[in-house]
Amino acid sequence: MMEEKVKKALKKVDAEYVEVHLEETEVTSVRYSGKEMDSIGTHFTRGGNVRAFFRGGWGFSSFNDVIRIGEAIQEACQHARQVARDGGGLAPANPLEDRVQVELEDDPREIPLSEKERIARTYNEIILASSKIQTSQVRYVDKFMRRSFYNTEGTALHEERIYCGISFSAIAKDGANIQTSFDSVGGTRGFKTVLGQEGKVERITKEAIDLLKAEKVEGGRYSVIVNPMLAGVFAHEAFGHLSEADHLDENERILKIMELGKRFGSEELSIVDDGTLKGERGSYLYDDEGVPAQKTDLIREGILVGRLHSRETAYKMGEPLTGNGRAINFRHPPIVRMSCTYIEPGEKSFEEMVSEVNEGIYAVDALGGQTQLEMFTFSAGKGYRIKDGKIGPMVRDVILTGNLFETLRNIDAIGNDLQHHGGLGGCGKDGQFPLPVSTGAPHIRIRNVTIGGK
Amino acid sequence: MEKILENAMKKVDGAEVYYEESEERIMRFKSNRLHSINVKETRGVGLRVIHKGRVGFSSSMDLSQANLIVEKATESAQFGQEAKFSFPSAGSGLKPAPKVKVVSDEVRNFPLEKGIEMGKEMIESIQTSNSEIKTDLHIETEVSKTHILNSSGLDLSFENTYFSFFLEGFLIVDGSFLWISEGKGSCRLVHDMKPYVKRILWKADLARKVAPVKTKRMPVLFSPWAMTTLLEAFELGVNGKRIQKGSSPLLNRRGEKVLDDRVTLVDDGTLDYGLGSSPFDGEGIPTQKTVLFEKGILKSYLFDLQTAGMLGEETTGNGERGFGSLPSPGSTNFVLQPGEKSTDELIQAIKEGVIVYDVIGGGQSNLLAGDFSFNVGLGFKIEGGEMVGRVKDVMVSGNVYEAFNQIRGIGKEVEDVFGVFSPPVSFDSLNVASGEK
Repeated sequence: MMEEKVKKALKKVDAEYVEVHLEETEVTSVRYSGKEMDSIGTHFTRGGNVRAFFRGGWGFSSFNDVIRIGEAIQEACQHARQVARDGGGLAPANPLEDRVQVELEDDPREIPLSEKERIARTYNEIILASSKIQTSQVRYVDKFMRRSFYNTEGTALHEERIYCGISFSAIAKDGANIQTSFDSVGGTRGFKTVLGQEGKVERITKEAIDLLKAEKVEGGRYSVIVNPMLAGVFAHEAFGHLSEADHLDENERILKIMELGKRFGSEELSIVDDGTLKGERGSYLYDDEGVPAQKTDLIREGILVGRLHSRETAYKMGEPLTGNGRAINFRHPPIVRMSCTYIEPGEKSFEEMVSEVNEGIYAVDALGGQTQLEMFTFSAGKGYRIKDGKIGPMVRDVILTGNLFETLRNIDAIGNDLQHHGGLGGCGKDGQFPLPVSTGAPHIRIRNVTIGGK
Repeated sequence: MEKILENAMKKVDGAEVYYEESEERIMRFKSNRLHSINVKETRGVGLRVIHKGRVGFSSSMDLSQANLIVEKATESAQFGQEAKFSFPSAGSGLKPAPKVKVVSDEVRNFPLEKGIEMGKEMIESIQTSNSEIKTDLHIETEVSKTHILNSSGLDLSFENTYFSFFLEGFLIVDGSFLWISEGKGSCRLVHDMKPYVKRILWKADLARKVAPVKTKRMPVLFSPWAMTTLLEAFELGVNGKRIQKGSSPLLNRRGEKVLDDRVTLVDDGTLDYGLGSSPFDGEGIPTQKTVLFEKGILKSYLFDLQTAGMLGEETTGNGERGFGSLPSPGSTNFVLQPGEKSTDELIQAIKEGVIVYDVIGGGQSNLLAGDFSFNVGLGFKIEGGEMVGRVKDVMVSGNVYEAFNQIRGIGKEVEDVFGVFSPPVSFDSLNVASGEK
């Protein structure tokens, strides 16, 4: 029995702390690209790793063949000793035993491949029905995952998760002008997640075509109303990453800027990370260090009050554990990551927010975002001019950039319409991509945002 | 492997088994000190089948699951894409594989102790000269083996070694954060780290002073590192798959002059020790050198077997894949032909402009259409032919298809940036946006 073998192997190790991860996944995907089926099939992964800690140093060894576990424990311990720094430790975590199985009414593993193919084909046909569409991409993915975690402190956890989602993009072309519109849904709620998305598919198709005629936005500084999707990406990319303690634990200068108790925004602004939300893509019960997921306040009423930790960073900084040590798969060690990060809703309606803007931009959806700690850049899928309190014509190439701290202070209205978004992708950090996360926000309004453009 | 092929052939018309195994060793330094040693062993097998004229695929990391992947690949072939190729056989008129060097025994036998020592030395020499800088560093070696076997009788294996390092210096200048990075990746060892350390120090020194920039159009000089972002747009444009889908701006333009006549761009999988080099692509086709643009004229696209088959073209040996995915056209090494000017001459020729070393957010604009827009991560203002200080909170934007028709000068000093071989290039007039009017 594997479990007995692992537990026995962990009884005698040559390091201060050792953990073992075992993982199996089964992924089914269907991808249409234009008129053609691009790929369809089921894929299996299986493997594990050992991570050992000794006086502040880590050794990590991953393998496919579980038979290698004994050797891997020795190797990781030896490497941890080779790295050993000057002490250090891990924040204490309670030993836990649990076994969590997926129980869904519509488990994607029970759905025949033909049905998954049909769903993807149906959405793809909606996009291609429009003559101005050059090509499309529709990608269905379900992923079943079973993870086991053991450590030398007596923790033994088994958690199953199942993700299911679909993404669709429409690409419209007129000569050299090529425009893409994109949306996706994803979470842990089962196969129903991907059903009934016809409205979204029709919307992105129309948007891609409209973008062909949209003017490029003029570069400059604007009052910008940001939609929930893009505001969520902003909270994640620009602020969330700065809350990850592994950026701070050995860098006293960044830490000084991220001092708890500092004011970051108005009293209306609260940002949290919550891995316990039900059904979202970024949710889980236990992180990859065997610590339960939780809700962590990052900014509460404008004041910086918390950050995200692994056991290593929580120890170094003398702060409580938050259950954010996560790895994308068994080939990587857990590092500090977000789960479901969102801006809490405020009081204002979207209509009120727009009516108060004389001249500005309504920035909608996110193509992507990137940060270098305080500096961020992210691009909206599209935008609309706002003039005299009314939404005007569509504009494209809306890329927002700025300094995080300034931008947080410049948030002057927070909407009452919080939405969470999961999708199929995820977050990238230190070569680990994509990690399932969710982002969320209501509409927010920011003064004085720099928009790059013509 | 043979057994998977044998089992598959009992059920389907044609089959290909792609097996890959690798061992990676990564030494990570965090804030000037060694933090972890990671060793990763990975192997897996992908089974591509053609059955009743359609493609099916499945993969697994568990080699004992041979029957399961045969079953899943066969099932998926019911819905799969119509096959527009047949599996190549060794004798079917394939060109001989290039004699490309992609294995280094120094990398294969690289002792961890040596990597640790290398890292410590680099960090120490940075510390000695500038103790303000905090350095993160990772050094990585990889040995990988690939074995491709198909029902047309092809049976080939090859090996690759890789060595890379990435050095990132962090410092605070003027109350704001600054990262300075250097790195290199290739199939062989980098012996002399001093030039990389020297450049980090030089940039840190120059970055002390911030120079204001006005929002307007001006000449912009891209370092080889920053050039990789712009060249990515061409990589998308010449990708056979985008050509087949009709979504590339380069569709139906072969033979046409698209770029400045100083631009010659090549995809070359046969460069000794290049990060993207290999004797064969992921379908067992010998790699080659493909001229994409010659003196500005679009010459060729990049294809794998299926995409080429769909368009009635020949594969260019660019079937890129891992064991877990079907092949798809991908670039190997990108090589932009150098010009005649030194970097100093390029700088001296700019009265007012910006030199960009590092960008943030390069891949987020509509790169497929050639549009780029990014924040300058590390860049300097040029005034009267001299670098006068760092630019802060500045965005540069434009369109590559326009910019590559407005080239001021191409440098002669080519750098290998992780398989993209580019000289520095300066452009006449790009949008530079800052907070200042």
